Amino acid sequence: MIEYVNSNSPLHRLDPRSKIIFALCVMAAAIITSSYLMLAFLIIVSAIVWIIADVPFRKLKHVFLILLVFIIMGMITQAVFYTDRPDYTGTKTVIFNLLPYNVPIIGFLPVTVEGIMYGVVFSMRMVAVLLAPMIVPFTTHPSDMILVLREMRFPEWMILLITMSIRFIPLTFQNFYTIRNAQKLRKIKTGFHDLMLLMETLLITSLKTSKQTALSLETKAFGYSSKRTSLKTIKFGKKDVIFSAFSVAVLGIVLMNTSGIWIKSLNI
Amino acid sequence: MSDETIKKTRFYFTNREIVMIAAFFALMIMSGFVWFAGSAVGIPLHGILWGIILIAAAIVIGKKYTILTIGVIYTLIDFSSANMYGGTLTALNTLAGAVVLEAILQMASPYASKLKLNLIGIFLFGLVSRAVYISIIVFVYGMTIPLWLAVGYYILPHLITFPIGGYLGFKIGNKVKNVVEAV
Repeated sequence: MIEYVNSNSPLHRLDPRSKIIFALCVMAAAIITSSYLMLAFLIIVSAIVWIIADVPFRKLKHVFLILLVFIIMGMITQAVFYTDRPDYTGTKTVIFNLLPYNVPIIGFLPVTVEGIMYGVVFSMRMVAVLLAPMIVPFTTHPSDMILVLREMRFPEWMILLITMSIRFIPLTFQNFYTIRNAQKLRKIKTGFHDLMLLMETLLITSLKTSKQTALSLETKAFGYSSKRTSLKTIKFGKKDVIFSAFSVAVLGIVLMNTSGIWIKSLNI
Repeated sequence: MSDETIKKTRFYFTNREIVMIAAFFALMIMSGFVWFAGSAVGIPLHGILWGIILIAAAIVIGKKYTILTIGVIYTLIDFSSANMYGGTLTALNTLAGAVVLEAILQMASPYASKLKLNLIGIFLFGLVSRAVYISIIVFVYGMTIPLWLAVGYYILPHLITFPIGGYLGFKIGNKVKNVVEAV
Protein backbone atom coordinates (compact mmCIF):
# COMPACT_ATOMS: atom_id res chain seq x y z
CA MET A 1 0.00 0.00 0.00
CA ILE A 2 2.78 2.42 0.94
CA GLU A 3 5.60 1.68 -1.43
CA TYR A 4 8.48 3.52 -3.02
CA VAL A 5 7.61 5.22 -6.31
CA ASN A 6 10.52 5.45 -8.70
CA SER A 7 10.96 8.95 -10.09
CA ASN A 8 13.60 11.62 -10.55
CA SER A 9 11.72 14.41 -8.80
CA PRO A 10 13.61 16.98 -6.70
CA LEU A 11 12.23 15.27 -3.60
CA HIS A 12 13.53 11.87 -4.68
CA ARG A 13 17.00 13.38 -5.04
CA LEU A 14 17.00 14.76 -1.49
CA ASP A 15 18.76 13.11 1.41
CA PRO A 16 16.18 11.08 3.42
CA ARG A 17 17.21 12.93 6.57
CA SER A 18 15.96 16.24 5.20
CA LYS A 19 12.59 14.60 4.43
CA ILE A 20 12.46 13.18 7.96
CA ILE A 21 13.17 16.69 9.33
CA PHE A 22 10.29 18.02 7.21
CA ALA A 23 7.94 15.32 8.50
CA LEU A 24 8.93 15.95 12.12
CA CYS A 25 8.55 19.74 11.76
CA VAL A 26 5.08 19.47 10.21
CA MET A 27 4.02 16.92 12.82
CA ALA A 28 5.26 19.07 15.69
CA ALA A 29 3.57 22.12 14.21
CA ALA A 30 0.27 20.25 13.76
CA ILE A 31 0.34 19.07 17.38
CA ILE A 32 1.14 22.54 18.74
CA THR A 33 -1.51 24.54 16.91
CA SER A 34 -5.29 24.45 17.06
CA SER A 35 -5.80 27.25 14.54
CA TYR A 36 -7.78 26.49 11.37
CA LEU A 37 -5.53 28.84 9.44
CA MET A 38 -2.28 27.24 10.58
CA LEU A 39 -3.56 23.69 10.07
CA ALA A 40 -4.74 24.62 6.57
CA PHE A 41 -1.30 26.16 5.97
CA LEU A 42 0.40 22.91 7.02
CA ILE A 43 -1.88 20.80 4.80
CA ILE A 44 -1.24 23.12 1.82
CA VAL A 45 2.54 23.00 2.39
CA SER A 46 2.43 19.18 2.57
CA ALA A 47 0.24 19.05 -0.56
CA ILE A 48 2.73 21.24 -2.47
CA VAL A 49 5.58 18.97 -1.41
CA TRP A 50 3.50 15.96 -2.58
CA ILE A 51 3.02 17.64 -5.97
CA ILE A 52 6.78 18.24 -6.22
CA ALA A 53 7.33 14.58 -5.30
CA ASP A 54 5.69 13.61 -8.61
CA VAL A 55 3.88 10.56 -7.22
CA PRO A 56 1.20 9.31 -9.70
CA PHE A 57 -2.37 9.95 -8.55
CA ARG A 58 -3.34 6.26 -8.77
CA LYS A 59 -0.63 5.44 -6.20
CA LEU A 60 -2.26 7.88 -3.79
CA LYS A 61 -5.69 6.25 -3.96
CA HIS A 62 -5.13 4.42 -0.69
CA VAL A 63 -3.70 7.50 0.98
CA PHE A 64 -6.86 9.45 0.13
CA LEU A 65 -8.98 6.58 1.42
CA ILE A 66 -7.08 6.63 4.73
CA LEU A 67 -7.43 10.41 4.92
CA LEU A 68 -11.16 10.08 4.36
CA VAL A 69 -11.42 7.55 7.20
CA PHE A 70 -9.38 9.92 9.42
CA ILE A 71 -11.67 12.83 8.60
CA ILE A 72 -14.91 10.89 9.10
CA MET A 73 -13.73 9.29 12.35
CA GLY A 74 -12.45 12.59 13.71
CA MET A 75 -15.61 14.47 12.80
CA ILE A 76 -18.05 11.91 14.18
CA THR A 77 -16.27 11.24 17.48
CA GLN A 78 -15.56 14.88 18.25
CA ALA A 79 -19.02 16.06 17.22
CA VAL A 80 -20.48 13.72 19.83
CA PHE A 81 -17.89 13.64 22.62
CA TYR A 82 -16.18 17.05 22.61
CA THR A 83 -18.74 18.88 24.75
CA ASP A 84 -19.39 15.81 26.90
CA ARG A 85 -16.04 15.91 28.68
CA PRO A 86 -16.24 16.90 32.39
CA ASP A 87 -13.85 19.90 32.09
CA TYR A 88 -15.76 21.48 29.19
CA THR A 89 -17.03 24.93 30.21
CA GLY A 90 -18.07 26.51 26.88
CA THR A 91 -21.45 26.71 25.24
CA LYS A 92 -23.24 23.56 24.09
CA THR A 93 -25.48 23.93 21.02
CA VAL A 94 -27.14 20.55 20.47
CA ILE A 95 -28.24 19.85 16.88
CA PHE A 96 -29.72 16.42 17.52
CA ASN A 97 -29.24 13.37 19.76
CA LEU A 98 -27.92 10.12 18.31
CA LEU A 99 -29.82 8.08 20.92
CA PRO A 100 -33.52 8.68 21.65
CA TYR A 101 -33.12 7.69 25.34
CA ASN A 102 -30.63 8.57 28.06
CA VAL A 103 -28.64 5.34 28.18
CA PRO A 104 -26.75 4.90 31.49
CA ILE A 105 -23.04 5.80 31.21
CA ILE A 106 -23.36 6.57 27.49
CA GLY A 107 -26.04 9.29 27.67
CA PHE A 108 -27.93 10.74 24.66
CA LEU A 109 -24.81 11.13 22.51
CA PRO A 110 -25.64 14.69 21.43
CA VAL A 111 -24.16 16.08 18.21
CA THR A 112 -23.14 19.68 18.94
CA VAL A 113 -22.03 22.64 16.83
CA GLU A 114 -18.96 23.13 19.05
CA GLY A 115 -18.13 19.44 18.68
CA ILE A 116 -18.32 19.63 14.89
CA MET A 117 -16.09 22.73 14.91
CA TYR A 118 -13.49 20.94 17.05
CA GLY A 119 -13.93 17.86 14.85
CA VAL A 120 -12.80 19.96 11.87
CA VAL A 121 -9.68 21.08 13.80
CA PHE A 122 -8.94 17.53 14.94
CA SER A 123 -9.43 16.07 11.45
CA MET A 124 -7.21 18.75 9.93
CA ARG A 125 -4.55 17.94 12.51
CA MET A 126 -4.72 14.23 11.74
CA VAL A 127 -4.50 14.90 7.98
CA ALA A 128 -1.42 17.12 8.50
CA VAL A 129 0.14 14.53 10.81
CA LEU A 130 -0.37 11.80 8.18
CA LEU A 131 0.39 13.68 4.95
CA ALA A 132 3.90 14.87 5.80
CA PRO A 133 5.50 11.62 7.08
CA MET A 134 4.00 9.59 4.21
CA ILE A 135 6.23 11.49 1.80
CA VAL A 136 9.24 9.67 3.23
CA PRO A 137 8.38 6.05 2.22
CA PHE A 138 6.95 7.15 -1.15
CA THR A 139 10.07 9.06 -2.21
CA THR A 140 12.87 7.20 -0.43
CA HIS A 141 14.21 3.90 -1.69
CA PRO A 142 14.53 1.34 1.15
CA SER A 143 18.26 1.05 0.41
CA ASP A 144 18.64 4.80 1.07
CA MET A 145 16.90 4.39 4.41
CA ILE A 146 19.38 1.64 5.24
CA LEU A 147 22.23 4.03 4.37
CA VAL A 148 20.73 6.64 6.68
CA LEU A 149 20.64 4.12 9.51
CA ARG A 150 24.29 3.27 8.84
CA GLU A 151 25.16 6.99 8.88
CA MET A 152 23.32 7.26 12.20
CA ARG A 153 25.60 4.48 13.50
CA PHE A 154 22.87 1.91 14.07
CA PRO A 155 24.29 -1.55 14.91
CA GLU A 156 24.96 -3.58 11.78
CA TRP A 157 22.78 -6.49 12.93
CA MET A 158 19.86 -4.12 13.32
CA ILE A 159 20.38 -2.78 9.80
CA LEU A 160 20.45 -6.35 8.51
CA LEU A 161 17.27 -7.05 10.43
CA ILE A 162 15.46 -4.09 8.88
CA THR A 163 16.72 -5.01 5.40
CA MET A 164 15.57 -8.59 5.84
CA SER A 165 12.22 -7.48 7.26
CA ILE A 166 11.54 -5.33 4.20
CA ARG A 167 12.60 -8.25 1.98
CA PHE A 168 10.38 -10.72 3.82
CA ILE A 169 7.14 -8.75 3.63
CA PRO A 170 6.32 -9.50 -0.07
CA LEU A 171 7.66 -13.03 0.34
CA THR A 172 5.33 -13.70 3.26
CA PHE A 173 2.37 -12.34 1.28
CA GLN A 174 3.30 -14.64 -1.61
CA ASN A 175 3.48 -17.64 0.74
CA PHE A 176 0.17 -16.65 2.32
CA TYR A 177 -1.64 -16.58 -1.04
CA THR A 178 -0.10 -19.90 -2.07
CA ILE A 179 -1.28 -21.63 1.11
CA ARG A 180 -4.67 -19.92 0.96
CA ASN A 181 -5.18 -21.02 -2.63
CA ALA A 182 -4.27 -24.58 -1.68
CA GLN A 183 -6.87 -24.44 1.10
CA LYS A 184 -9.46 -23.01 -1.29
CA LEU A 185 -8.85 -25.88 -3.72
CA ARG A 186 -9.80 -28.35 -1.02
CA LYS A 187 -12.98 -26.70 0.26
CA ILE A 188 -14.91 -23.48 -0.08
CA LYS A 189 -15.57 -22.38 3.50
CA THR A 190 -12.74 -21.54 5.87
CA GLY A 191 -13.16 -21.78 9.63
CA PHE A 192 -11.00 -20.77 12.56
CA HIS A 193 -9.25 -24.15 12.60
CA ASP A 194 -8.22 -23.71 8.96
CA LEU A 195 -6.88 -20.25 9.77
CA MET A 196 -4.73 -21.74 12.51
CA LEU A 197 -3.44 -24.38 10.11
CA LEU A 198 -2.69 -21.62 7.62
CA MET A 199 -0.78 -19.70 10.29
CA GLU A 200 1.22 -22.77 11.29
CA THR A 201 2.13 -23.60 7.69
CA LEU A 202 2.98 -19.99 6.96
CA LEU A 203 5.26 -19.87 10.00
CA ILE A 204 7.08 -23.04 9.01
CA THR A 205 7.43 -21.96 5.36
CA SER A 206 8.75 -18.53 6.38
CA LEU A 207 11.20 -20.02 8.85
CA LYS A 208 12.44 -22.54 6.28
CA THR A 209 13.06 -19.66 3.85
CA SER A 210 14.81 -17.70 6.59
CA LYS A 211 17.07 -20.68 7.24
CA GLN A 212 18.12 -20.71 3.56
CA THR A 213 18.70 -16.95 3.60
CA ALA A 214 20.81 -17.24 6.73
CA LEU A 215 22.86 -19.95 5.06
CA SER A 216 23.57 -17.73 2.07
CA LEU A 217 24.58 -14.93 4.46
CA GLU A 218 26.97 -17.30 6.20
CA THR A 219 28.52 -18.44 2.93
CA LYS A 220 29.18 -14.80 2.07
CA ALA A 221 30.79 -14.33 5.52
CA PHE A 222 28.29 -11.67 6.52
CA GLY A 223 29.20 -10.12 9.85
CA TYR A 224 32.87 -11.09 9.70
CA SER A 225 33.99 -7.50 9.37
CA SER A 226 32.39 -4.58 11.18
CA LYS A 227 33.32 -2.14 8.42
CA ARG A 228 30.81 -2.40 5.61
CA THR A 229 31.04 -0.50 2.39
CA SER A 230 28.33 0.47 -0.05
CA LEU A 231 28.30 1.29 -3.75
CA LYS A 232 25.92 4.15 -3.10
CA THR A 233 26.57 6.91 -0.59
CA ILE A 234 24.33 9.67 0.71
CA LYS A 235 25.36 13.21 1.44
CA PHE A 236 23.52 16.02 3.18
CA GLY A 237 24.05 18.65 0.50
CA LYS A 238 23.08 22.27 -0.11
CA LYS A 239 19.58 21.37 -1.34
CA ASP A 240 18.99 19.33 1.80
CA VAL A 241 20.03 22.25 3.98
CA ILE A 242 17.63 24.54 2.09
CA PHE A 243 14.76 22.05 2.40
CA SER A 244 15.48 21.54 6.10
CA ALA A 245 15.60 25.30 6.64
CA PHE A 246 12.23 25.55 4.88
CA SER A 247 10.84 22.85 7.20
CA VAL A 248 12.12 24.66 10.29
CA ALA A 249 10.65 27.91 8.92
CA VAL A 250 7.24 26.22 8.59
CA LEU A 251 7.48 25.12 12.23
CA GLY A 252 8.66 28.62 13.18
CA ILE A 253 5.66 30.28 11.52
CA VAL A 254 3.26 28.01 13.41
CA LEU A 255 5.14 28.53 16.67
CA MET A 256 5.04 32.29 16.25
CA ASN A 257 1.34 32.18 15.50
CA THR A 258 0.66 29.96 18.49
CA SER A 259 2.68 32.09 20.90
CA GLY A 260 1.03 35.24 19.64
CA ILE A 261 4.21 36.97 18.40
CA TRP A 262 2.90 37.00 14.85
CA ILE A 263 -0.35 38.62 15.85
CA LYS A 264 1.36 41.20 18.10
CA SER A 265 3.85 42.21 15.39
CA LEU A 266 1.00 42.71 12.94
CA ASN A 267 -0.98 44.65 15.56
CA ILE A 268 -4.05 42.50 14.90
CA MET B 1 41.81 -10.63 11.97
CA SER B 2 42.57 -10.68 15.69
CA ASP B 3 40.30 -12.39 18.21
CA GLU B 4 39.36 -9.03 19.70
CA THR B 5 38.20 -7.68 16.34
CA ILE B 6 36.14 -10.79 15.70
CA LYS B 7 34.56 -10.42 19.16
CA LYS B 8 33.71 -6.80 18.40
CA THR B 9 32.12 -7.59 15.06
CA ARG B 10 30.04 -10.51 16.31
CA PHE B 11 26.37 -9.64 16.70
CA TYR B 12 24.28 -10.58 19.71
CA PHE B 13 21.94 -12.48 17.41
CA THR B 14 23.33 -14.91 14.84
CA ASN B 15 22.56 -14.38 11.15
CA ARG B 16 20.02 -17.18 11.34
CA GLU B 17 18.23 -15.65 14.30
CA ILE B 18 18.19 -12.22 12.66
CA VAL B 19 16.57 -13.61 9.52
CA MET B 20 14.08 -15.57 11.63
CA ILE B 21 13.14 -12.39 13.52
CA ALA B 22 12.66 -10.71 10.12
CA ALA B 23 10.30 -13.52 9.10
CA PHE B 24 8.23 -13.04 12.26
CA PHE B 25 8.26 -9.31 11.71
CA ALA B 26 6.88 -9.74 8.18
CA LEU B 27 4.08 -11.88 9.64
CA MET B 28 3.27 -9.10 12.10
CA ILE B 29 3.06 -6.57 9.29
CA MET B 30 0.82 -8.91 7.33
CA SER B 31 -1.51 -9.51 10.26
CA GLY B 32 -1.86 -5.74 10.61
CA PHE B 33 -3.81 -5.82 7.35
CA VAL B 34 -6.80 -7.43 9.11
CA TRP B 35 -7.80 -3.89 10.13
CA PHE B 36 -8.69 -3.20 6.51
CA ALA B 37 -11.57 -5.66 6.89
CA GLY B 38 -13.07 -3.29 9.48
CA SER B 39 -13.13 -3.10 13.26
CA ALA B 40 -15.45 -6.13 13.57
CA VAL B 41 -12.74 -8.35 12.07
CA GLY B 42 -9.74 -6.30 13.18
CA ILE B 43 -10.46 -6.24 16.89
CA PRO B 44 -10.78 -10.02 17.47
CA LEU B 45 -8.25 -11.18 14.89
CA HIS B 46 -5.46 -8.65 15.41
CA GLY B 47 -4.88 -9.57 19.04
CA ILE B 48 -5.03 -13.30 18.35
CA LEU B 49 -2.60 -13.10 15.43
CA TRP B 50 -0.14 -10.84 17.23
CA GLY B 51 -0.33 -13.02 20.32
CA ILE B 52 0.50 -16.09 18.23
CA ILE B 53 3.36 -14.39 16.38
CA LEU B 54 5.00 -12.74 19.39
CA ILE B 55 4.89 -15.78 21.66
CA ALA B 56 5.89 -18.14 18.83
CA ALA B 57 8.81 -15.82 17.97
CA ALA B 58 10.00 -15.81 21.58
CA ILE B 59 9.77 -19.63 21.78
CA VAL B 60 11.29 -20.44 18.37
CA ILE B 61 14.21 -18.00 18.66
CA GLY B 62 14.49 -18.57 22.41
CA LYS B 63 16.97 -15.82 23.08
CA LYS B 64 16.68 -12.83 25.42
CA TYR B 65 15.73 -9.49 23.84
CA THR B 66 13.94 -11.16 20.88
CA ILE B 67 10.65 -9.40 21.62
CA LEU B 68 12.35 -6.11 22.43
CA THR B 69 14.18 -6.26 19.09
CA ILE B 70 10.96 -6.99 17.22
CA GLY B 71 9.33 -4.09 19.07
CA VAL B 72 12.13 -1.68 18.20
CA ILE B 73 12.16 -2.68 14.51
CA TYR B 74 8.37 -2.57 14.24
CA THR B 75 8.32 0.89 15.83
CA LEU B 76 11.10 2.14 13.53
CA ILE B 77 9.33 0.93 10.39
CA ASP B 78 5.91 2.05 11.60
CA PHE B 79 7.44 5.39 12.47
CA SER B 80 8.60 5.92 8.91
CA SER B 81 5.43 4.65 7.22
CA ALA B 82 2.75 6.27 9.43
CA ASN B 83 0.23 3.57 8.59
CA MET B 84 -1.82 3.68 11.79
CA TYR B 85 -4.69 5.91 12.78
CA GLY B 86 -2.77 8.61 14.59
CA GLY B 87 0.25 8.64 12.29
CA THR B 88 3.81 8.06 13.27
CA LEU B 89 3.77 8.84 16.99
CA THR B 90 1.29 6.09 17.78
CA ALA B 91 3.94 3.61 16.59
CA LEU B 92 5.42 3.94 20.07
CA ASN B 93 2.62 1.74 21.46
CA THR B 94 4.29 -1.41 20.09
CA LEU B 95 7.60 -0.50 21.72
CA ALA B 96 5.94 0.15 25.08
CA GLY B 97 4.16 -3.22 24.94
CA ALA B 98 7.32 -5.01 23.82
CA VAL B 99 9.31 -3.66 26.78
CA VAL B 100 6.76 -5.09 29.23
CA LEU B 101 6.43 -8.43 27.42
CA GLU B 102 10.22 -8.77 27.22
CA ALA B 103 10.56 -8.15 30.97
CA ILE B 104 7.97 -10.82 31.78
CA LEU B 105 9.37 -13.40 29.33
CA GLN B 106 12.84 -12.97 30.82
CA MET B 107 11.50 -14.13 34.19
CA ALA B 108 11.22 -17.66 32.80
CA SER B 109 14.31 -19.76 32.37
CA PRO B 110 14.84 -20.72 29.57
CA TYR B 111 13.36 -17.65 27.89
CA ALA B 112 9.57 -17.80 27.26
CA SER B 113 9.30 -21.40 28.38
CA LYS B 114 6.49 -21.00 30.95
CA LEU B 115 2.93 -20.79 29.68
CA LYS B 116 1.62 -18.81 32.67
CA LEU B 117 4.30 -16.13 32.37
CA ASN B 118 3.76 -15.96 28.61
CA LEU B 119 0.05 -15.39 29.14
CA ILE B 120 0.66 -12.69 31.76
CA GLY B 121 3.22 -11.07 29.47
CA ILE B 122 1.01 -11.02 26.40
CA PHE B 123 -1.94 -9.76 28.49
CA LEU B 124 0.23 -6.88 29.70
CA PHE B 125 1.45 -6.32 26.14
CA GLY B 126 -2.14 -5.82 25.05
CA LEU B 127 -2.92 -3.58 28.02
CA VAL B 128 0.18 -1.39 27.80
CA SER B 129 0.27 -1.05 24.01
CA ARG B 130 -3.40 -0.11 23.76
CA ALA B 131 -3.20 2.23 26.77
CA VAL B 132 -0.18 3.99 25.26
CA TYR B 133 -2.00 4.21 21.90
CA ILE B 134 -5.04 5.82 23.50
CA SER B 135 -2.87 8.13 25.60
CA ILE B 136 -1.07 9.42 22.49
CA ILE B 137 -4.32 9.95 20.63
CA VAL B 138 -5.90 11.76 23.58
CA PHE B 139 -3.03 13.70 25.17
CA VAL B 140 -0.85 14.44 22.13
CA TYR B 141 -3.39 14.83 19.33
CA GLY B 142 -6.19 16.14 21.52
CA MET B 143 -8.93 13.64 20.67
CA THR B 144 -11.84 13.75 23.10
CA ILE B 145 -13.01 10.28 23.91
CA PRO B 146 -15.04 9.12 26.94
CA LEU B 147 -13.52 6.61 29.30
CA TRP B 148 -16.19 3.96 28.62
CA LEU B 149 -15.38 4.03 24.90
CA ALA B 150 -11.61 4.07 25.43
CA VAL B 151 -11.80 1.06 27.73
CA GLY B 152 -14.65 -0.80 26.01
CA TYR B 153 -13.50 -0.39 22.43
CA TYR B 154 -9.77 0.24 22.45
CA ILE B 155 -8.49 -1.71 25.47
CA LEU B 156 -10.85 -4.37 26.84
CA PRO B 157 -11.29 -6.55 23.70
CA HIS B 158 -7.51 -6.78 23.32
CA LEU B 159 -7.13 -8.03 26.89
CA ILE B 160 -9.12 -11.09 25.82
CA THR B 161 -7.74 -11.65 22.32
CA PHE B 162 -4.04 -11.24 23.13
CA PRO B 163 -4.01 -14.01 25.80
CA ILE B 164 -5.96 -16.30 23.42
CA GLY B 165 -3.30 -15.62 20.80
CA GLY B 166 -0.59 -16.14 23.41
CA TYR B 167 -1.98 -19.56 24.31
CA LEU B 168 -2.20 -20.59 20.66
CA GLY B 169 1.27 -19.12 20.07
CA PHE B 170 2.67 -21.26 22.88
CA LYS B 171 1.26 -24.40 21.27
CA ILE B 172 2.20 -23.45 17.70
CA GLY B 173 5.59 -22.09 18.77
CA ASN B 174 6.69 -25.33 20.40
CA LYS B 175 5.44 -27.34 17.42
CA VAL B 176 7.16 -25.04 14.91
CA LYS B 177 10.38 -25.05 16.93
CA ASN B 178 10.56 -28.83 16.71
CA VAL B 179 9.83 -28.81 13.00
CA VAL B 180 12.35 -26.06 12.23
CA GLU B 181 15.07 -27.74 14.27
CA ALA B 182 14.38 -31.04 12.55
CA VAL B 183 14.50 -29.61 9.00
